[in-house]
Amino acid sequence: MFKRLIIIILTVVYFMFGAGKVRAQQTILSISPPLLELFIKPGKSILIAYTLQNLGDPNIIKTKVMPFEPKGNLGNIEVKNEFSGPVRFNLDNSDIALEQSFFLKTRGSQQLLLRIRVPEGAPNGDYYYTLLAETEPPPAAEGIYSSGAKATIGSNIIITVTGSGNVDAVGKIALFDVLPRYKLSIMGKVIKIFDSNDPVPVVMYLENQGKNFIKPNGKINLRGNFGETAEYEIVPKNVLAESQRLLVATPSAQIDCNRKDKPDVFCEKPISLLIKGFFLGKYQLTGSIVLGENGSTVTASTSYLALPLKFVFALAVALLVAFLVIKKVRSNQED
Amino acid sequence: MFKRLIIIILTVVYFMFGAGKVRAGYMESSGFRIQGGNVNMGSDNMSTPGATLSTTLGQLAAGKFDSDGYIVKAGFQYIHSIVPFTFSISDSRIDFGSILNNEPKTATTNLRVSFGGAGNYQVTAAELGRLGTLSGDYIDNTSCDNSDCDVSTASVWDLDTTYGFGYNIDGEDIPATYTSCYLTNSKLCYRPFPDTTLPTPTPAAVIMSSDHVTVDLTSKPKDIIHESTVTFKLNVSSAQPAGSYQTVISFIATPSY
Repeated sequence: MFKRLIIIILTVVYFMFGAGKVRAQQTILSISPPLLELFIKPGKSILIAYTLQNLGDPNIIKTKVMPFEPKGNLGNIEVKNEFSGPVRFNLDNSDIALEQSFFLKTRGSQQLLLRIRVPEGAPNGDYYYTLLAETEPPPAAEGIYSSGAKATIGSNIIITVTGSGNVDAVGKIALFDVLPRYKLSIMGKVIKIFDSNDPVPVVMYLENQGKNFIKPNGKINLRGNFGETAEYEIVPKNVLAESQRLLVATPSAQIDCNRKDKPDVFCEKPISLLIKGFFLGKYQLTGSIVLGENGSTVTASTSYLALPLKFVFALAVALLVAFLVIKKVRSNQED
Repeated sequence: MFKRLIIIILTVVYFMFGAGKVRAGYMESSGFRIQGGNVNMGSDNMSTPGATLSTTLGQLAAGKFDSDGYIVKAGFQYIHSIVPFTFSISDSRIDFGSILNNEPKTATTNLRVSFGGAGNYQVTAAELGRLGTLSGDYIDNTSCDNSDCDVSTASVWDLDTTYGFGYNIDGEDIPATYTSCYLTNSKLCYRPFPDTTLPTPTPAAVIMSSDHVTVDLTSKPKDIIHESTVTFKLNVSSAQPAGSYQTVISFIATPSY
C-alpha cells in the first residue's frame, strides 16, 4: 500500500513538473572552409573536403549548392532560389548526396566531399555559388501558435573558368575621398577641412569592370606638408566581376558601432580607413591598387586641410574674456 | 640485475622506435576510400629581421596548391584563419502558447555568429508563408502602430489594438533602421518578416557585421563572436478564427566573399 502511494506521488510529480515541458531546441552549425576560390579549365573536376559540425542538439540536415549574387558593396551576398550556370556539383560521399537529408548527432561532424565539375565547352567567366547546409525545423506542437526556426549556414565558392589561364582584371577606383567636417568652395575648387584633432575618415571603392573577380593589393599613403608620411595596407578582399566593393585599409582607428546610446558618427557610413592623430596644414592621400596578382596598377589621390579650429576658437574666446576683464579692471581703477 | 637491464633496454628501444610514431591510414573497403582531406595544426606569421613568411599549416584548402588544370585557394588568406564559420540559434522552437485577443505575446531566441575566420558575415531571415492553419486561415504580418513599418523599415508597435506578427532585434550588428528607431522609442520597434510565398521574396538582413571590425594583418588567428536577440511578437483580434497557427522562419548565415 505504501509502495503504491509512493508510485502515485512520483507519477503525479513527474506529470506536473517534467512531462509537459517542451525543451529548447538549440541549433549550432559550423562549416569550414568558409570560402573557396577556384581557377579551373573546362573539362576538369576537383574534389574539396568541407567539414560540417553540429554543436547543438541532434538535427536532420540537408546540403545543397545554389548560385549567389553580390548584394551591395560591402561583400554581402544574395543566395538565389534556383540553380543556374554550367558548373556541376555532387557529393562523392558514399552515404549522402546533395538535397538528401542525413542525421547529425550532437558534436557530430560530417566531411562533405564536394565534387566540382566544369564540363567541356563551359564558357569562360566567373560563377559564384554557396554550399548551404540547412536544418529541419522542429515539429510544431498542436493547438498553439508557434513558429519553428530553420538554420542554414553557407560557404561561398568563387569559380573562375578559364581555358587559357588568363583572367580579365580590369578595374578603376570608383571613389577615393575623405569625409570632411567642413567644406569650402573657392573659385570652383572644394577644400575639405578638418580640425587638427579630428579623425580623418577615408572611403575607397574599387569597381571591377572585368569578367573575373579581383583580389586587390595596395596601399594608401598619407603625406603632410612638413614631410611626415604614413602608410596603410589595403586588405585583399575579393571584388567580384562587374561589381563595386568598399576596400578596407589597416591599421585603422577602432570604432564601436554597437553602442546604442551614442553610436559613433563614423558608423553612419561605411569607411575604408580612419586616421587618428594631430594634423596641421595640407595633407595628400594617395591610393594605389594592384588589380590582383600580376595585374595593372590604378591610383587615385585626394587632399585635405587640417586647421586648429577648436584651438583658435578657444583662444579667441579666452582673449575676448581677458580683454573684457582688463577693460573692466581699468574702468574700475579710473573710477 | 640482468632482468632489470633487459627491462631498461626494452624501454629505451620502445621509446626510440615505437612510441613516437603517429600512424595514419586510409579508411577503405571495396566500396569506398576516404583520404584524409586535411589536418588543421595551426597558422602563424614567422619573421626574421629580413623576411616574413605567412603560413597556414596542414590545411588543404587554406593554402594554395597548383595542379594541372586548376588552382585552389580556400579560407581568407589575410586572416590566417583556421576558425570555422559557426551559426547558432539558441531555441529553434518559438512557441507563443495560447493567445488571447488583444493580448500581445512575445517569444525570444538568440542568434550567435562566430566569424573570426570568415571576414564578415550576414544573417538573413524570411518566413516560409504567413502564420496559418491547415484550414487556410492566416494571421497577417504587422504594419506597426502607424502602418509605417515593412520588411525593410522598423517602427513602433506598442498598442494592444495593433495586430499581426513581427519581430524586433537587439544586440550586435543590427540593421540601421532599428538603431535609429531605438534612439527615440526604446525597444518597441518591430517589422514583419519577408514572405517567401510572395512573387519576389527578398530575405531581409537581420544582422550584418560591418567593415568597422578592424582587420589586424599581424594578429594571430582569433575568433570573433557577435550575438543578437530576436523577439517575435504576435497579437490577434477577436475576428481571428481559433486554430493552430504555424510557420517556419528561415535564418541563413553566410560569410562574406
